[in-house]
Amino acid sequence: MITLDRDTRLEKVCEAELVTRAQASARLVGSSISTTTPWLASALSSLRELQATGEFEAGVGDLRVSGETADQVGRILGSIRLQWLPAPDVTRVSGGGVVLRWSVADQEVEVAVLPRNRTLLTILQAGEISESQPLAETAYLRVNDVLKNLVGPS
Amino acid sequence: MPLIDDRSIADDVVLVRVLRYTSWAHPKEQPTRPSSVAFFDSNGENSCFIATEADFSRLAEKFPAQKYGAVTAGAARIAGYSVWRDEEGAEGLPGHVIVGFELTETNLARYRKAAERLAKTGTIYQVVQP
Repeated sequence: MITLDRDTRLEKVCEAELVTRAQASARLVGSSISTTTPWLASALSSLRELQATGEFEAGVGDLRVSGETADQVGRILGSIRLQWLPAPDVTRVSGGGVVLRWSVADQEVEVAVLPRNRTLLTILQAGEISESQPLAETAYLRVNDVLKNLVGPS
Repeated sequence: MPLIDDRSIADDVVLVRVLRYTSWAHPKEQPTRPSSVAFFDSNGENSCFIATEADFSRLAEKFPAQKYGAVTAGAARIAGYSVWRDEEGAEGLPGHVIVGFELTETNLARYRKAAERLAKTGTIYQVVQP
């Protein structure tokens, strides 16, 4: 405690660790994402885990997810404007790809992101593929439309 | 280069795929078959083993408590895949084959449908140790 004058004093509230401005900013963004779009925080966390854990396994395939593929998945997730969504399953396919899958009742929306800039949007109803088409980088907003249909009017 | 389907691997030969993650089986809660992602390798080359040639003791050492998705070579062909041996590709594990789909610039959606079709024919097995 530091006494400045009769009425004013500085008291140490707690031991605060020193953080850089970038770290503070990242924490602020992370905490903001988790409260405003909980599904996004969950998806990004799963994505980081995939990226951190894969390796080549003989008899299964290459389970590594490259930074480039993870970034592309991040861009797709970041392009989604819907606040309330179920958290997607974030899973890997061998060969370095990532598949995002949102499920509501018997409907599913799946986005497969494969290395070398190949992305596929697939819609399934009752386990049957009703639509499957490549997704260009300029058309990521299309994911919004199909997810809007998935969750219905809010 | 077109994929070469090895017809010496008969249609009724059972091929197993190590279901490395729970998401590679379907449905999630109580899996009964492999899921499409199990047969959706990004390069179109899905590593599998011929069930009667595989060394499941060694596989169990490498992948403890892992389940296996089983399909027949015939079902893979009907779905649009080719099957060929790849003994060198699995670090000496016997019976290794590739269930391959010839990917082009334009047929990714067809590959996704093939993976769905093949996965739906599959079943799941688990090695039981004596």
